[in-house]
Amino acid sequence: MSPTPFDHLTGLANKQTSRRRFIGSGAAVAAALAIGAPIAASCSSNDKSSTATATQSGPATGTLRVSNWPLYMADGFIAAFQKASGLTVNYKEDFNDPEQWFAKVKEPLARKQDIGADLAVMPTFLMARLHGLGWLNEINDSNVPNKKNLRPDLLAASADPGRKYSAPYMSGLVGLAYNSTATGRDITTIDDLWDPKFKGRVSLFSDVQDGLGMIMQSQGNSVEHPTTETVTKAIDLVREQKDKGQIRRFTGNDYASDLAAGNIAVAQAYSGDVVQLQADNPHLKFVVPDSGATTFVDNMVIPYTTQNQHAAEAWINYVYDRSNYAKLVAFVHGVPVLSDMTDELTKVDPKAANNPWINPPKNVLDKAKGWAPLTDEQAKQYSDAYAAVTGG
Amino acid sequence: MNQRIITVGRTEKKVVKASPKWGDLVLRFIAALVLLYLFLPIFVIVLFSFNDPKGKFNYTWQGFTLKNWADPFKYPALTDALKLSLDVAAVSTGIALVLGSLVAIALVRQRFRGQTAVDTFLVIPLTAPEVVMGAAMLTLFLDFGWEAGYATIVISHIAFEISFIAMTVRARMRGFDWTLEDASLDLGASPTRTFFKVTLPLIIPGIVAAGMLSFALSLDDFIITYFVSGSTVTYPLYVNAAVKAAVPPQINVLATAILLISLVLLAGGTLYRRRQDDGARPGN
Amino acid sequence: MAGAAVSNRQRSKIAPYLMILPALMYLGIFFMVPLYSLARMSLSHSGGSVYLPTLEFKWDFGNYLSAFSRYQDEIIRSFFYATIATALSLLLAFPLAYVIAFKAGRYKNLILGLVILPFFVTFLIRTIAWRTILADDGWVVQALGSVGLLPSEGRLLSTSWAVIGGLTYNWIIFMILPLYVSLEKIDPLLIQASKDLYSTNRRSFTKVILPLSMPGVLAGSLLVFIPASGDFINADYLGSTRTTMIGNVIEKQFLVVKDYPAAAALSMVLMLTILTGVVLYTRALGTEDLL
Repeated sequence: MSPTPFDHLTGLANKQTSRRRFIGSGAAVAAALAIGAPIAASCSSNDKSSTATATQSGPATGTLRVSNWPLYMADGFIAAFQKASGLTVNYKEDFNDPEQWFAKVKEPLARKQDIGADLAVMPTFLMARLHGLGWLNEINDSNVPNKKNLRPDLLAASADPGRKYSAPYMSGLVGLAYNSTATGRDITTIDDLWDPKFKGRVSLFSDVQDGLGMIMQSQGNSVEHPTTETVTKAIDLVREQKDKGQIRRFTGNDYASDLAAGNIAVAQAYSGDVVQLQADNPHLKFVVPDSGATTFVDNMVIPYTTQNQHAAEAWINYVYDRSNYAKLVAFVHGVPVLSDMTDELTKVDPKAANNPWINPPKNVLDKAKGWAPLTDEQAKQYSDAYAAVTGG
Repeated sequence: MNQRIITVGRTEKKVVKASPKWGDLVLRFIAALVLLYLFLPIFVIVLFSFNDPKGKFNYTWQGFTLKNWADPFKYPALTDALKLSLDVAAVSTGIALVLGSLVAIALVRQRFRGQTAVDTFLVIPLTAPEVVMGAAMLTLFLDFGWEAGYATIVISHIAFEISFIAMTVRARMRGFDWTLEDASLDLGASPTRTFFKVTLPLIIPGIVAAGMLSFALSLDDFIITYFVSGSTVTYPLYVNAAVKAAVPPQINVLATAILLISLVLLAGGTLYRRRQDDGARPGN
Repeated sequence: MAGAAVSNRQRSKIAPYLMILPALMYLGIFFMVPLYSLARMSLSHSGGSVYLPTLEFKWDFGNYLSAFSRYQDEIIRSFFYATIATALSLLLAFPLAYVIAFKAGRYKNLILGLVILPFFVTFLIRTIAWRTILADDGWVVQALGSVGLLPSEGRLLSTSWAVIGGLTYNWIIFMILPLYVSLEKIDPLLIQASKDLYSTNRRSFTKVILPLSMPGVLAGSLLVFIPASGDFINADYLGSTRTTMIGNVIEKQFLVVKDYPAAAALSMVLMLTILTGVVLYTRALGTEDLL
């Protein structure tokens, strides 16, 4: 669902490095405990079902198991982290579809069994779902002093005010991408999607939020206050166009090949993907429709079955250091979740710093809205209604 | 040779005209076309392993380069996943071959009570949709208290391979001459020896074919493997995830490499056999 | 090699049971138990929380009724695609298997190895390669377009033909190999004798070779048809909004809608329908046994 970069980490599991004190840049690691919470977990815990939100003293030690989208990491990042922290990272790229992943971990998590990850990266809606089920550990702010670098709008997000259970990892824009040789013109509005000239060469997202968001906005409705009526109105429009044969496919992440090949003229797309595609195909363009686009945020979460809470927090803190994070952004080409990234980005990759889809100017950011958090019932209701149209 | 002399009866000789050359040629031509059809996507895959994309997608031809081949193991996760899948395929196929072949032999060898039931029972695993079976199997494993990982992957692969193997071996065994076994037993061989020296060698082609199918099946399985793999990543899991995101040329490189190695093994095996056959020809 | 012959020897009564026991036990545990829980789920009613529903076993056949009524199109379409794919793969596989079995001589195993080689490349990668080959502006589509052989949408990808083509390509190896093993053990003398008896090659084929190859045809047809009907990936990658198969529906119901009883019921419907079809097909081909 989220954009993924091409380049891949090199350092993998089980690199034994000498243990050194963890040095958080610019932050002193708290030695004393916060208010009254018992020191529950041990550093090298073999506890299969540790549920404690332990605040620990001293540096993090041991192994950290991370589960992330494929190719959503910068070269050398993990090796650098291991060196700086003395931790060993077992990095797995086994997160490729939120619903599939959920179906897989649902049973183990419900039984409080380890799922093989101490930290996972996932879209906001899945994070909200896991939190609602009580399956996430709280993130101790005392161990993540770099949290102050987080964008204020993300910190205050209604999905998790104050970001107690989630730590944004990367964000991006959900807009339109088009192949200018295939379209013969520029695309600026949602109505362009319905241009009969593009019949059978349009693709939409099968995900409710990514697919319907911009359509709702084109109908004058907001994604920050969705209702059954506004969502249904958008779904009806999609159904109408589908019946007309306007829509070729409903896609997940897999629109890129069709777009590059010219099979699709206009697609709903993620900004990061298009930036990557443009490297090989300058005819591809990304645009935020006039009526607005939506944003997505991928979040780092700590499942309550984690075996190394402290290490996970150390990782988050490392990611939130601006100079480290700039390297991530330069590879992933997403929209940063940290504020004031321009300087650091310019040091790493000036082109990225000037790319409006990586470092969007204010007027673009204003037009891009995030979805309001949905209740379980709402999410299911919209999802079922849309699934009936997308096929199945 | 266009003609064959067949002796019919004791005194007559009859000359039979073989099929006209053109019919033969047409048939071979069609077969060659089908073979070409099988390889068409392979050519594309091999070609694109030499592609030089600047971005993360390997979809449009950018230019020729050898650098992907120079660094095929650039993505350790991909290489590890491949090694794991080969391992799982080999192990699961080995075990499933034993279980499946025994069933096939038993079903063809003699009539017994409950035969049709077993028949039907074997077809069912082929019909079950992977999504729901994968989830149900995971629940089963969790109920046993097992952790999802290598063992559960192998176990679930064996489960669906047995039926494929049984059906393939059976196709081979139809029309098997069971009197050969009798002859062997009459000559004094024990049933076990008969089995290993007479029955088994004659079924080998079927078992080999079944084994190859099963291996390919295991290498390819995605859905069931996804559910029961825990955090282990197999080759199809990696590719499936990558495909939704980006396809580094290294995937093409490794796929081509596997093909080349298999091709070499194949050619080598054929040459070896030929040398053996040549050596065994009378007059040498 | 001698032809078929049945043994009249008194066989050990217990031998077959011993031989099938390991496989049966294995499948009994690792397949039948999950299947049983699936069957139970299909008759259950889910309630309570959205993501961790409590399933109440209720003999609720409502799921089955709605499966039939809501997804008729997809069910029929799946079997239609699977049938055509099976027929196509038989048409393509037979010449190839025949040539390998009878005309390849020393190179038999080499060519057989070549045939299976493409299938060691993960099917996903092969499917993507097909997407490149069948691209809208690729040479295949251009060529077919100039002779007017394109489907109504004016393209090959995202049409039902692409899906059928994908199904055929994916599963054809399961037709080639059983056909081959079945053909290979036909005694060439039998063929010569049949050519001696019948005046044309065609009759020799239909009267002798084809019947003898039936076990292979049967096994191959089943091994292609059954997985093809439940497939969803080809429709996903090569299809359009109008080529949804029952496999896609099951996947969606299970993963997205999370209506587990519905997904289970659909699965049972799929399985039972295939089983019925298989039994009928086997009877039609005149063999007593299922396989």
